[in-house]
Amino acid sequence: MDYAELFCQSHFSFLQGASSPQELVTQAAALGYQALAITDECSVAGVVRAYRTINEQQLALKLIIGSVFVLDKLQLVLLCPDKTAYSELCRIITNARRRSSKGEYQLTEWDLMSVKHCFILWLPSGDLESDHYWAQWLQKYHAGRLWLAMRRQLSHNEQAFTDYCQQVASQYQLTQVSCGAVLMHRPERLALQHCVSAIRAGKPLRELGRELLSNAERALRPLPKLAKLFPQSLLNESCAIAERCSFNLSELKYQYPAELVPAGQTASSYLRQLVIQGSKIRFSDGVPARVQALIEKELALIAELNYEYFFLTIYDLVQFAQRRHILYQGRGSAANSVVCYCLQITAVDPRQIQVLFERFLSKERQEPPDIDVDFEHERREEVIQYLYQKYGRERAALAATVISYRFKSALRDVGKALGLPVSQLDFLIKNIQRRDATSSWQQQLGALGLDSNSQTTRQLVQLVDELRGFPRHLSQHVGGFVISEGPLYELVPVENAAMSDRTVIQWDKDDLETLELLKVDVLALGMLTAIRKCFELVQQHYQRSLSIAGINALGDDPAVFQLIQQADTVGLFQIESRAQMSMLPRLKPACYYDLVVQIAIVRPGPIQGDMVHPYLKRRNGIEPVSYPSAEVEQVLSRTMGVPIFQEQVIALAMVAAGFSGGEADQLRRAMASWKKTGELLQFKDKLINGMQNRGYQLEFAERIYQQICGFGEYGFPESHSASFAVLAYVSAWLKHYYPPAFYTALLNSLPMGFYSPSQLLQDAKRHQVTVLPVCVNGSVWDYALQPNQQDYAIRLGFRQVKGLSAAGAELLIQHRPAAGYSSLSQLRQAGLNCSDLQALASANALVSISGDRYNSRWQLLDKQQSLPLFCEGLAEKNSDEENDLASAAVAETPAKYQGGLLPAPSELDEVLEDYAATGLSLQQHPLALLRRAGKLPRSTSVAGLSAVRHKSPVRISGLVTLRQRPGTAAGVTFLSLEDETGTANVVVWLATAQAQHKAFLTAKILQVDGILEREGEVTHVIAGRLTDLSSELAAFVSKSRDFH
Amino acid sequence: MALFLYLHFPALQLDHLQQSAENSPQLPIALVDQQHQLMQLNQLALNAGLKLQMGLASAAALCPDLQLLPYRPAQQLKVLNNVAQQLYQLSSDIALDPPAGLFLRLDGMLQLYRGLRPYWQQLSAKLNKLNYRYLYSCGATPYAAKCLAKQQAALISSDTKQLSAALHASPLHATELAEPLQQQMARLGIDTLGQLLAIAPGELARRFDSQLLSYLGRLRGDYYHALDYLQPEPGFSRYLELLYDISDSTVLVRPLEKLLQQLEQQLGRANCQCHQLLLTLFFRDNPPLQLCIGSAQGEYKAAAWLELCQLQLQNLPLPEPVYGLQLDVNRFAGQQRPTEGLFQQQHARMSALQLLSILQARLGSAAVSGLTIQNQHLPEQASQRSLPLVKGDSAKGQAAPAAFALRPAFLLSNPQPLTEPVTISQGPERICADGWQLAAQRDYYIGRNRQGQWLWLYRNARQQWFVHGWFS
Repeated sequence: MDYAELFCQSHFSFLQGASSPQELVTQAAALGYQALAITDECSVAGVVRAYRTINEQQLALKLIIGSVFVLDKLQLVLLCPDKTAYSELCRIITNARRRSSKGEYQLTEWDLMSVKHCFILWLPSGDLESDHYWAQWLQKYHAGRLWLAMRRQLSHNEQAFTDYCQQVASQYQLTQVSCGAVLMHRPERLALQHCVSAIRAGKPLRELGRELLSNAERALRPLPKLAKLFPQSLLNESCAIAERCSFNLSELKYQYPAELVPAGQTASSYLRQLVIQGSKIRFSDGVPARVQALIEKELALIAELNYEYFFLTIYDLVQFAQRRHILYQGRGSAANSVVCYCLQITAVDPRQIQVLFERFLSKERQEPPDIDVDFEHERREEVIQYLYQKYGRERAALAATVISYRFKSALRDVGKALGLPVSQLDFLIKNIQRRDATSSWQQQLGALGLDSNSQTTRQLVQLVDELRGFPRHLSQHVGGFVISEGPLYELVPVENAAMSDRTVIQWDKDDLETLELLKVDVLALGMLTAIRKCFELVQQHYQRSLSIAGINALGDDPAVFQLIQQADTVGLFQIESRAQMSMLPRLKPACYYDLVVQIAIVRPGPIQGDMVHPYLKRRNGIEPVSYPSAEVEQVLSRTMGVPIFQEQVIALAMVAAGFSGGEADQLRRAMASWKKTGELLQFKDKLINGMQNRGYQLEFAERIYQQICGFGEYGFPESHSASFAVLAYVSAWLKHYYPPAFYTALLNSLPMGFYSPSQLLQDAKRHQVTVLPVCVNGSVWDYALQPNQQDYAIRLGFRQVKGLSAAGAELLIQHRPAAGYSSLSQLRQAGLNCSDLQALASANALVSISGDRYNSRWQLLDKQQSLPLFCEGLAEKNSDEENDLASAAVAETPAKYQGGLLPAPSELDEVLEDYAATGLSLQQHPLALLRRAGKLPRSTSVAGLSAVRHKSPVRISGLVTLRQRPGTAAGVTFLSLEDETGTANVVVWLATAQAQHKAFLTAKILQVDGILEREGEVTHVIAGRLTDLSSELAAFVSKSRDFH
Repeated sequence: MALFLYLHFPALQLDHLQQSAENSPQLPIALVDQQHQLMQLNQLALNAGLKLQMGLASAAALCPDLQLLPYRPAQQLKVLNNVAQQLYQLSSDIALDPPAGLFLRLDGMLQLYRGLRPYWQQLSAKLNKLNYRYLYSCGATPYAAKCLAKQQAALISSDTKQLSAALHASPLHATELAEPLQQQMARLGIDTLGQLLAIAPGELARRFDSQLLSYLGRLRGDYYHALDYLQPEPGFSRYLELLYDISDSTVLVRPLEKLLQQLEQQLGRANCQCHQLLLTLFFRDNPPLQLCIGSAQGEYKAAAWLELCQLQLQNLPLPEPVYGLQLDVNRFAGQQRPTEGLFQQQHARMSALQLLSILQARLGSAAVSGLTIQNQHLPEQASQRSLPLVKGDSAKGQAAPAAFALRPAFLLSNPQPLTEPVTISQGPERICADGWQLAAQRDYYIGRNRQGQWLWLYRNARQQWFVHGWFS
């Protein structure tokens, strides 16, 4: 007996289906189904995964693409017999989706009428009137492609419904076909299906009652059971329909936009022409023979794989950016090619770094070309709009990102469905430490007050585990564009994203890869904004024209590397984090490639694989460089025999464990998503056995596997690191040679990077850069350079003033008299409203015209001074009566400056107010004030730590600027304590933190008694006793106010 | 001179909860509001370093075994009201200041108690007995007392100078000024009431709205501060000593009728009715016997109550003769019955509620219940006993058509094994309502036995047949 299931929804019918497409196809094949149609509701988001599983596991199962739709009481399934029908389905889904907001759809009768190729399975509703209407209607427009789908779910009174369907079928001459309306791959998923139904309804399970499925019959059912339920003719019909469906996703061929190639040229000849043009710019004194050979090799490979259009598309994009003076930088395996260097997609010079260029595109690895282009983060939107404008919304759309259930969201939703109180769930979610290695989250539930033996808890645990990884909705990919020659909706449905004016396709980047459709990644990078702004400042104030490639071409500068080696890297790209800073003095990068390694090594992958210390030892000559075999040497020689990069790990899997190209590619994909799906485990045995069989030590193999796990979501390839290293070097170069311009540009590009304005300015001061306060007569919106002695000083910009509107600042600057403002009334006349004036007063920007901030505010509050009605905001708030009274009084007391009514703020008050109004203070550091007041007895300043001997006890105090608990360091928290002389690193072990919870978690100013440890130039304080000094400050100012 | 006392109860609802669960293990407890902020903390929670208004996350991190309970303003008010009622026995002018405070006007009481000390002695003794945490202080005005109490001034004094000095030193966060206004003041360097009071009102009027001026006016006593003083709660409590001991419970009805008539009068005056009477019978040797008589719809008529009392008394064995009766009504309930139309004939008939009251009085309330349809697949759960006359969810108009699936009129509470031959006429309907117990699925059929009875049958996963009901 044969059967084809023609109506089956996966979990891409969000919160309806309870099984993944992979599970469904695997189970259908195991049950011996001839074909399975994945028919999610108004969606084809799950079909590629099913397609991939069938191909990978070589299942004897035909995949049919379709979709189910609901229009009031009408429910029907559309199936695609051929490619034309598939395009039709995509068009219908696109139309229905584009009519509604994200996640919804709206089908119209017109959509249905326009169906000319898809097969239609109609599911009668049981409502007499509606069924007869639709039966007639469908028969009128779609005769010949129409079936009546019969379900048997063993529901109440089913016999009557079956009879009814039969009667309708014979009345309208409809052929009947059996279908399962499947939602689960196995009956055991019923509990999960109930649970997602409850989530969908937004009610606890127990309130749903009869709205839930009454049994597990909507699972894929064994053939003998189906044979009992349906007449043979209906089952045969399902196979007959499946037989007629010949469309396969592999037929989808992607057509690149042709307009990129000028008339009379082929893509290949045009690309060659552009590369030759570019090479003349890049190699002004002639292309070296070795490079020329590489160019030829690369062009040949590109031609062989038909990737010309891909490179041309990206070339077009960066040309646009160049015209608009938007800074960009390409990265990725294909980006590090001479071709990309010549096309000015990247600035990585092949002469500087040979090793990279040996691996470009690879046929045997079967991976698609990878080029991500980063643009200035404040201007990426211009690039995106250019794409939309050039190709139109029909032909360009963003790839989707499938947002899946993670632990917390799963726990919250399942918990709600099981009826746990929301506050308890919040409590659990906040308190479960997923990184706690000593007890699993299931065990922690018990410790947090759930009875671990109760039925609810056991159900919670199981359902949360099952639900994790289930898709919740489609979101937009950060910047992956799909561009095509014809309308995209013939290739894949397009739907609305949450952002207005954005559309996403229904497939994510893995799906695109599976179908070998190419996407262009348009990403945003803050550092590029900062570098471009810095270039402009240098041009304007130092009359020197700079570019990324230009700085790179100057060669490795020892002075710049000295700054990097000293970990003087606040504000630099990639190497500014705490972990990087502690590694820099140990690794001592001295050339460009060292930076490439440096950026990649301080990552979860190498750390988890325990590769950092071996590398350090080998680099410092403590351990000899050796290789287990010649093949491995080939892969690892550039990193002294220690695998650091993702590419190396993949290559190791191939040369050392015998993975085929296709398997290596599967491994790469699994690495990218293993946190979500846990797919990596299936490779473990193969990898370890493979390596052992080839004579490698078990321990080495285990470490490689650990590293693969560590790469997980943070996988860091050399090809990306290479491009990042260029930017890291450029930022270091700028910081070394033009510090005022560097800090100014950085401050004007926030938010980005690790550090707050306060920390950046303190770093600037440590580099002898003068910083001037914000001033009504001196500042502009942005931070600016102002002449100061021989060099420039940084003037705080109005952008730093909390509460000051951009419009207000613009008015202020526009109407500023040549000699500056001299009174508040002038400012009011310029049109500044009350809240803007208040913000200026708070930032102490009015000190030159109305005294300190207390007295400035006091004057600003005076309603009489603000009359006649310059100050709209306040005037509106007052009752008429008060206004009358006030205006009557105007004549008697002429408005005049009344400075001195209120006592001036104390020094500490000033500092606190500075923090409140601008997030930073140019006056004394609060710690300096506390120290002066004798509140920090026996505390060593951060600067003084260098005089403390290794392993000796020490006490330090400071503002807690960072509490960081990296996933790679079990049980350790890093604290940054900042005082007036710098920032100190404190290590708090778990036990210490637990014993002194209160101070550890809540202190804003912390005193630490501990032991100083020094390794090379890295200094840590290992915390012993923690004391919260926040209240000292509060008592000191005699009022408690939150600050910082 | 006017003198006020303010009592502030920082954790009234929580203290009350803890008292009522005295023997439970000592755990840190916090009450949280809907924004997940800590509203009240017990001592253990305070010891752990928790603070009010702290977020749930930091609280949980500081104190992992913290128990959370919802903060209920309505319940808090009830407790506050109760405290006020208790204090009313000692002090006459008490005004509620929800959610956590009481104003007490003292100047009238001083004469009665001959001074402030003796008054406070009595009052604090009573307060300590109540065992709620409280802060207190005197003040020349209600707001002054409140402001001082909130900062734990604990001043029991009528010394104007002392009170005024303490008031001037008060930080602004102890005042009633709105949070934004306090912040505004802080940003002018004004931190204490003294600083604020030193500024000429005219200067303030030019800068601030009337809220500030009216507060300061009341604080100083320049403006009259009207307080809504507490009225004692109405209720009914009468004791009747019998002229002779009664040993037959039915005879008790006569004296009882008198009491009930008095009750009817009082209810009539208040235009109220009541739902419950407490009747206490006193014996010479035995402890008093308390009866609780309820009326579901509420009654005020003596005759109606008497009928209900009779039903209970009829079967009541008395251990010995009764010498006294006490009738208590703790709470009068809303409006008296709707006035019946003049020509309505229903007068003589019983309403459903009256019938219910009679049935319950006669059979005991546990014996009377209703039946409602439940939104459940499982037949055992599809209908449920409920409180009488409470409508089930089927009556709320939201039931799906499936709610009226064909089900037998008579359902066996325990299915019986099928012992006779039947012919199946409909089915199967497969029911597996619990996704966790697929093995518990049942296939239901409708069948007919030889006698022509229609049976509701099912077959379980082990292929055993059961009868679950009969169709009518």
